[in-house]
Amino acid sequence: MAIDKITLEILKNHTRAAAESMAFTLYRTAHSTFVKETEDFTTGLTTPTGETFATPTELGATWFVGLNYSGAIKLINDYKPGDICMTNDPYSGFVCTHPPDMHIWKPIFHKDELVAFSVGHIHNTDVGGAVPASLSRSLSEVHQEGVRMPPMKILEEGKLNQKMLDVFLTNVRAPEQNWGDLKAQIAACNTGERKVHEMIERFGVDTFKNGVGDLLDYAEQQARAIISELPDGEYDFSEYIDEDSVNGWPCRLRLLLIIKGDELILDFTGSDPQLESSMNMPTGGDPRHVLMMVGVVYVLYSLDPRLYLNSGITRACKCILPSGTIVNPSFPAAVGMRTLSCNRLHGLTFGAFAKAVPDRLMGAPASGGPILNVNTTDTLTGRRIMAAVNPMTGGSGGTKLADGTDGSGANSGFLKNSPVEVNEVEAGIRVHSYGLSKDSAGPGEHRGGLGTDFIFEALSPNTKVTARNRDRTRFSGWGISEGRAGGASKFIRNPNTDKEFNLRNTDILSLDPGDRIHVTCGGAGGWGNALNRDPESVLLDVKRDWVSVDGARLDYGVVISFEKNNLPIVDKVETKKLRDTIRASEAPNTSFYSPCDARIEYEKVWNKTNYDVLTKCLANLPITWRFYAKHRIFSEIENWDPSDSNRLNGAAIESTYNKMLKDFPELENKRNN
Amino acid sequence: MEGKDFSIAIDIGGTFTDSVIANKKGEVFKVAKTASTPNNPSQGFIKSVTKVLKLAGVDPSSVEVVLHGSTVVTNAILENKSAKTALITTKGFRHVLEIGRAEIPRESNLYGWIKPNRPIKPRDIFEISERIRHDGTIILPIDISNLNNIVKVLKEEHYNAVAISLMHSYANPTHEKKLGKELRKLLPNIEISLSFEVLPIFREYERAMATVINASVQPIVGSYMKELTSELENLKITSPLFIMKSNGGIFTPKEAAKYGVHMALSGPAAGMSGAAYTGKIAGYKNLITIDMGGTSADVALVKGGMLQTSTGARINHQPLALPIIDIHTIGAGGGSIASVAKNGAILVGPESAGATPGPAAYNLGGTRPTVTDANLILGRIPPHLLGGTVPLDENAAYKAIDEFVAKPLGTNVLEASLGIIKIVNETMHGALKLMSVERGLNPADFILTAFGGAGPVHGGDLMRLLSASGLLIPRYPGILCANGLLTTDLKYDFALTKLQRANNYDYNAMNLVFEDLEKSAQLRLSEDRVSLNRRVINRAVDLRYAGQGTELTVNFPPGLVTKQTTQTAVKEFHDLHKQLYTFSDDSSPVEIINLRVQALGKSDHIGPPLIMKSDGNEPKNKSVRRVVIDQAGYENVPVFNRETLLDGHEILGPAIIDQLDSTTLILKDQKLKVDKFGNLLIRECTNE
Repeated sequence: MAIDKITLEILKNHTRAAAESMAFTLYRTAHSTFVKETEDFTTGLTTPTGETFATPTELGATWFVGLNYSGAIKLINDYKPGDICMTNDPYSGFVCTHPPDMHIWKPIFHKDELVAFSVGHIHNTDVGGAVPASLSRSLSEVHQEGVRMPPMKILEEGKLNQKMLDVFLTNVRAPEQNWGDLKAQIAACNTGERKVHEMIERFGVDTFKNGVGDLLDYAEQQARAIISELPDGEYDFSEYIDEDSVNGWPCRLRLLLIIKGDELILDFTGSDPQLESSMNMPTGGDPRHVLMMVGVVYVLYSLDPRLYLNSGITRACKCILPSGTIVNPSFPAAVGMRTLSCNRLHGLTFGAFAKAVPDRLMGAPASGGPILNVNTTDTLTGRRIMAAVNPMTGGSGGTKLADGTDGSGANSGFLKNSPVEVNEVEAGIRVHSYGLSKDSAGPGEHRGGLGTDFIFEALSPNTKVTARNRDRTRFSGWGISEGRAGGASKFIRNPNTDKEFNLRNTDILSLDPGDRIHVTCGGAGGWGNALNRDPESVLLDVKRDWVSVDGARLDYGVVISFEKNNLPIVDKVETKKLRDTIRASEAPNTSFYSPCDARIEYEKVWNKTNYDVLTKCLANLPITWRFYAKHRIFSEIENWDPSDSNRLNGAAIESTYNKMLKDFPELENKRNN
Repeated sequence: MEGKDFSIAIDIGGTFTDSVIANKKGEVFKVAKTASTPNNPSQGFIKSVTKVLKLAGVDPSSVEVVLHGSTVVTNAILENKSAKTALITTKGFRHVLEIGRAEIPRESNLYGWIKPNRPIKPRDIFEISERIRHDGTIILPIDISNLNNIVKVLKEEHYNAVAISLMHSYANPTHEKKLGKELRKLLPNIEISLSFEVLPIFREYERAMATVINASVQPIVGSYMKELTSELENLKITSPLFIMKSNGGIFTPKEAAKYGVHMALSGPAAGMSGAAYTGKIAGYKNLITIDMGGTSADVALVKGGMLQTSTGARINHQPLALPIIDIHTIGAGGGSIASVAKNGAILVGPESAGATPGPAAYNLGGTRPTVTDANLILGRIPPHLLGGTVPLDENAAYKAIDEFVAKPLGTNVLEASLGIIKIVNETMHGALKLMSVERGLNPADFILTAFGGAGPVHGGDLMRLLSASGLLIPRYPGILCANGLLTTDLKYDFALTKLQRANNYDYNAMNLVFEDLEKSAQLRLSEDRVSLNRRVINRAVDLRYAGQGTELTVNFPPGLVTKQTTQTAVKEFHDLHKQLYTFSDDSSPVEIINLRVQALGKSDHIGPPLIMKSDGNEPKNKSVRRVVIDQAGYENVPVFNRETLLDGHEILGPAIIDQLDSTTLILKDQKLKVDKFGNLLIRECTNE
């Protein structure tokens, strides 16, 4: 039953304030600096069935509005007042998505009735496992990624389950921090419970329950209204991760977006088989899994910023997530580095929607810059150093309205950089420059945002650098509506010397004193034809040192000349001539998007036909064989005679596949035919 | 009047200029309101000085001091009207200002967020080759061979100000000094700001931003100060002029001309000073304050009688890491517009009708309903403004609410008006909680102080929602900023980054830094001719647990820095950390980051004079108004004239107190008591 609009508005404020208050409690009470610095946590309130109806907007990871706790809630049999449950197992209920995330939930009762859950998670700095911080691309089984607690009550009717806690804390590297953070989570859930009781006292239990229902309906209606304005149809798109494992083959994510009236179907069939590395996204096949929904929420919110954010939005969506793939891996596939794949997933979602409404969305976000950590010794003081340095951030894609934002936002999330002056004190390195990466923006009438650019020098021997989330050195972000792709990210040791070495997607290395590292984030894609960009805007970018004089000519057809005082100006006559020449020579670009050259080259071989055949072949194999089979087939195709047309029409793949079946007769019987 | 003991305070706001003239003996306390002249603020300033002098019949020669709160700098920053400014920085770091901390507001859409414009663009930024290490060691001497080229561009492109911010200059300002000296020779008519003078604190982006903003307002403040001084001279007022700073203190026009950035929040700081003073004379040290005006409301805290400052302020989306009064601003004011979205959601603010076109009831072209319109329909404010000089159009308010809120919601105008008030109150309640509950403070330990034109009519509701222990309404809630100017001291902040690792504190080095900072502080007070007995010097330090990215500021004992005095500060840090974050970690190493010194030159504070004591008779209401207090609908509520209330009077709600520029609403079961200064103290009857 609907409650009146004024009361609903006030209830809405109260639910949001309650979630906000939970977040403040957690932030204030958490012990680890990681929580304080990165705010990698969530808080919220859900219905008794686990639908999130309130999330904070000012603190924490604010975009998990579609989080549904039902999977975890169902795994506990009976709830009593004072119970608090927790799990960090990505394969129990599929609420948790990698082991560092500890999720907890507390039932809230009014008299005898369960009326809500207060919920939340914290990314723990370490939960044990093979490597410090529990995250590495090279891990292949979830067992290596830390201790896993299945859903259990850490508090039973208010009483702490000490045994369970001991098991957890015995298996982690900095138990005081985990325990401190867990206490903060418990405090946050208790705050949520108190706030719900206050709301019930103020509004009455019926108004509260009905109002919560109304809030979810309200978001759902808004989402459906936005969707129904989109043109019905089927829109397919693909995205690539450079490597599916250390030095591996590219990994494809694929989405067929079906818009039908006020509903969305997101079919991920054709995404690569689950990986023997830790970039899998554990969804359990949940058609509205939050990892799959984040991109959709961003898209809908971009289309209409008045959208009220709660899990009602997700009711209009349904995902198809084939099992044994990167979007629905089977136990015990490793999942720790799913952040990297999630970044690509957001781009994938934006791309599919952009195909439907290219003038209302943006080019691919900047991506591929790492989160850098340094482990060394300060020669001046002898101090041991383990410090986070800059996350290498980048901006958003160009849109019909404006250039993308430079240096921040998009895939970089809410990450803050650390000041150069702090890095030099805390990380024992010397910074030579920190700026925006010249010519990294995808050219367009409205160009993409630039990535950041960082050059630093190691000052001590055996300086260890880790660079999490490295990607986009090969496949950079695409542009839309004739806008072009952004620049690739860079990771180079000792640039412009005879010791220069391209580190590409390396994520761990050891430096000698004097070694310099040049690292950049890839740029974002542009919107619209770059030849239509106002030459004065190109000139401005040249003056800013964001576009080179060569870049102006090659990417934008703008000829820059220099006055006597050495100030750059646009040579209008030459610019017009050059632009006319380019226009006359170029075939019109009719595709809604423009991939980078590396992707065009790659897709010449790995075209639609080839990938369809590959997908079909792999789907026939047992899950444990698929990654191996993919690598074997890729390897054969790589070495196939380029002049043979079978290399491009699927026949070569079929024959490689059949040969493999012959090599392993056991497979013949095991096939899922 | 005889004797040279009059103080004049002029607070210039967006719409009105408020002025007060008062003397220390308490014989005179006159207030006036004139229209502001945003295009020529010094003209409005002098008009308002002339008006109060005349009002009080005081001769200009009897004026001892003139105090001024101004929005000149605030507006220059907010409206990007500051001078064309260049920045010179270390080679390799030209884009630091553009990148900032790279973070974006949490509530924003990561993919669609648009970065707010920086005060200057990358093309205004020039690089110079030099490098200093964090410990002050020069590792690459400055090369100024390129300076002539830069100067040429600066001249050709008509830059009016230059900021210089070099890497690690807080640790060694040699290069900045040298560069500044050369530039002053080459550009004698251009203002130059050096980062180690504006903010000698580490974090290059924040330091450069403060320096750039300072440089960009310097020409404006400089000429404004000149105008004010000469206009005062024309009036034959030879007394010193002091300007309100964002840190809650005042400074001289000479300092203002050099460090105009300190005036960024001049106006609100004056209001906070007035609120703290009101609390002090009324006997309350812990206040949570709300200043509700036409477009926004500012929420702040007074703890232990002290204004709270922070170095985490943002002005026009840009960080300003200087000590600034800690206020939280929300888009809730009398002019906040109410609307109903397509899906039936009702919204109040942050969109505002401002002063023009203003609320529908002003009849100045505004047609959309505002909070003021709702208050008018509910009878909570009188049908006119400023004591009857500006009539309000009830029909226009009715029509606006009916069309834009009541009809879309399918309800009547009365319900809709109550809804608008409820929602705007909830918004302010949220901000008040953010300032108190979410900082580990219990509102029941605080008195809510409501001021600004619109504050007192919402105060009763807010006290109830917040469960504050009481509600304090100052004698002149609409002009508390001008009042506040009469209660301020000269206040200068000095600071330097001097990183000290845990268990390796260098007490000698700290002594030297404190001595240096205190020498600068004393010099500053001497230049301002502050007598020794009026000087107060306070020390503070910024501390953090090793590994943390932000610091907390705590007091540091005076005298020789020793292990013991340092431990006192460290203990205070643990305690503060516990209060703010619920835990402290005594075993965790504590790092000392910045050393701070604050110099005060105390002045005589002047407040409103005592009012007459009641003779025991009940206060008499001037009229009865039909007012909606709650769902019960219209009822007859007595209306009192604030001027007739006497010390000791008590009034049981519901009741309304009208005065020239504000209206106070007392709800049912609330009780008002008038104190000897004419302040109103309201409590819930259950708290009696």
